Amino acid sequence: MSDELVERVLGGEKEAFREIVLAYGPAVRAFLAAHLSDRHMVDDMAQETFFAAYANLRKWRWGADMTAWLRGIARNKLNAYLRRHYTYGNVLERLQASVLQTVQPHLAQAFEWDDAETFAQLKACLEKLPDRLRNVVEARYTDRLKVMDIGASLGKSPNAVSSLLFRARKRLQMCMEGEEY
Amino acid sequence: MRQEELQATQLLLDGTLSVRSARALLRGVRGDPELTDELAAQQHLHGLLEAAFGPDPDCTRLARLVQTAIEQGRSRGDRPVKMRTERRVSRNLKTRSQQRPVKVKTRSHLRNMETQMLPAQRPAKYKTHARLRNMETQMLPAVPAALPPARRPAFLPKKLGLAAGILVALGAVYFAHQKFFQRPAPPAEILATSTDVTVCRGTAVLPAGTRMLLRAGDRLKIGPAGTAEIALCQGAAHMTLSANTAVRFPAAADAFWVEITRGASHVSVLPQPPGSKLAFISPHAEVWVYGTRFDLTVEQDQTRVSMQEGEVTLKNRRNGRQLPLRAGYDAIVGATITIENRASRKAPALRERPERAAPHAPPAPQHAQPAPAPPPGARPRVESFTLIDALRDRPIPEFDPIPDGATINLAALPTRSLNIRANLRPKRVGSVRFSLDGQQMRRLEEGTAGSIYSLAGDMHGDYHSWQPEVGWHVVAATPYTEDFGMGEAGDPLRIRFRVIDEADPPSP
Repeated sequence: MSDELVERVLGGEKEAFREIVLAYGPAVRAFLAAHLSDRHMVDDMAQETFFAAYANLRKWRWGADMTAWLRGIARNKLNAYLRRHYTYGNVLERLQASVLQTVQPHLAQAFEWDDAETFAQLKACLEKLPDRLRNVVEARYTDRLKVMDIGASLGKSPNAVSSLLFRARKRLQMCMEGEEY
Repeated sequence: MRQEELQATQLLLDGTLSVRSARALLRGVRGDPELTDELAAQQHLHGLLEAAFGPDPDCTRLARLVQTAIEQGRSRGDRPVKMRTERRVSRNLKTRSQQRPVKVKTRSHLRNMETQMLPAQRPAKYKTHARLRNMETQMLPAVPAALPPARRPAFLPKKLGLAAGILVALGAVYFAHQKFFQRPAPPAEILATSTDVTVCRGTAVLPAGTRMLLRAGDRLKIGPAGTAEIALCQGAAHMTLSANTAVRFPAAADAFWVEITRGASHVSVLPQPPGSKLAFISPHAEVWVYGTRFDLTVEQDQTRVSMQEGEVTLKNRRNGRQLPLRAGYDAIVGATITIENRASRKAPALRERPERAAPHAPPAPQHAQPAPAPPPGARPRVESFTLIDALRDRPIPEFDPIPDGATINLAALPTRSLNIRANLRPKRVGSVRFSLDGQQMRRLEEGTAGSIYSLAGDMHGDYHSWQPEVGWHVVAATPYTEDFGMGEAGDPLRIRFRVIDEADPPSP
């Protein structure tokens, strides 16, 4: 599909690039959101990734994996951002950049297994979660509540909410890998 | 994963990590591969959940922004223009709403909206405020819906026409002022000066004063009893000029060099942005710098350049030949360039060979090896402390090193802007933690500029200023093998010293 879309864009049909963004945007944003906690920065960097892809579309290798290509561009943008933070940031920003740079190879490996079915699989697995875990996940990711606020609404400490979120993500990971939990 | 690491992971994902948690997490991921895998798995799921359940999960908004930007970039060689995101727009709107609570839509605003509705007829424009406003309204559909109907009262055209005319006239005056009449930024500013310093401006001779701005073409002369300190390039470079020194600034405002016609000077330059050039010129040599510290002394037939930090490109003005010069080396530029290793003071390590050197192709100098490194596995240790003159970024010889129990008389020092440097072995370690009087300093010294670890810190070798209070003090420093105070702690050093401020100190 990606070859066909690229061909259409290169043929002058620039609206076809919208279809590329719609098809591969979630994967790019997931990759960036895994690294960056600021979702506005995720949006900015996703835009920059697609601009760079558009500007370099003539370098597209036919038959290549579009998700991997876009993820590579996003990784370059991300590394530039982390380098800037490490060089010019305060101690906290430099520490965070150091943590992310250490984890990044492992994270890149985790994303390599993702494909077009990943999001559908994730939603199916979320349905299988016990109610108390699903509620916490929905409060955190759909309602965008902070851990502190979730804890206040559930009558739990932030540490307890962090544990619940950790377990929920762990179970989702196991479910997506086809393991029983 | 322990509770502490679990908590730190969640804080990292939420973006609310503290320095303490971040340090613990970094220590964990560097030392425990399982924790790294676990953290990566959590981040992976977090990213998927954010993308799947966060705002704009199907990326329609992202696609619209990208598509619009690409469309707008069509008239500019297909280079897409980056759209403003919700954060920037909301920040703009917030700022604007604070400044102007209610705004009636003007004619130009309405015209903007009309053109927005006809994208095909819209001419190519640069990113004006009106255009940005268009983009904002395009991204926030509620705003156009709330606009008042496009009525044009009869009195508006005249007033608006008059206002537009005034604005155009003001703009033309401003442009002409910027273009033809405004003076360029001053090449230098005098930060500190003594009495025996004068500025020659054309035929006038003016006494130099603190905070005096020097103009293009000015000449600064330091008398036998004078000294001066000047800032160049809006503070990016500092020069400390000794007695009997003369400096000339170029007549062209956009030139990027300073000529030291005689005397001695100490130069400190912050790292320059890529592509920028700054040169210090003597009758014999040109020193092209990109962020460095060095001393330059002009003698009768030669110029001596003594490098303290960084690297410069040295050019012989007689024959145009160039050589790179690194920290720790001295160069004498006369008929040829001779480079000496300052540490070993041995015979010339490199001598320019005029008959072989090709112009504009400097040969790589065969610099001597640095001081022998300690055997691998040796614990780092602090050997001594040195009192630093932070104004001139030089050690104060009487206190290099500071002996335990020393008495430092502020009145007898050349400056009160001080700093204390820890001298380490090996010279480069991961980080150094300082404490003064038992209080830990907030920042960790990581030696971003070579191997400088100091109590009050430095910016690329330019020491920060610190003035101790009168009384007894205890300074301690502990080296670590890794950054952020992690890894193995080395051998610390702790000394006591007494600070007094007396013109006539009592004899010991």
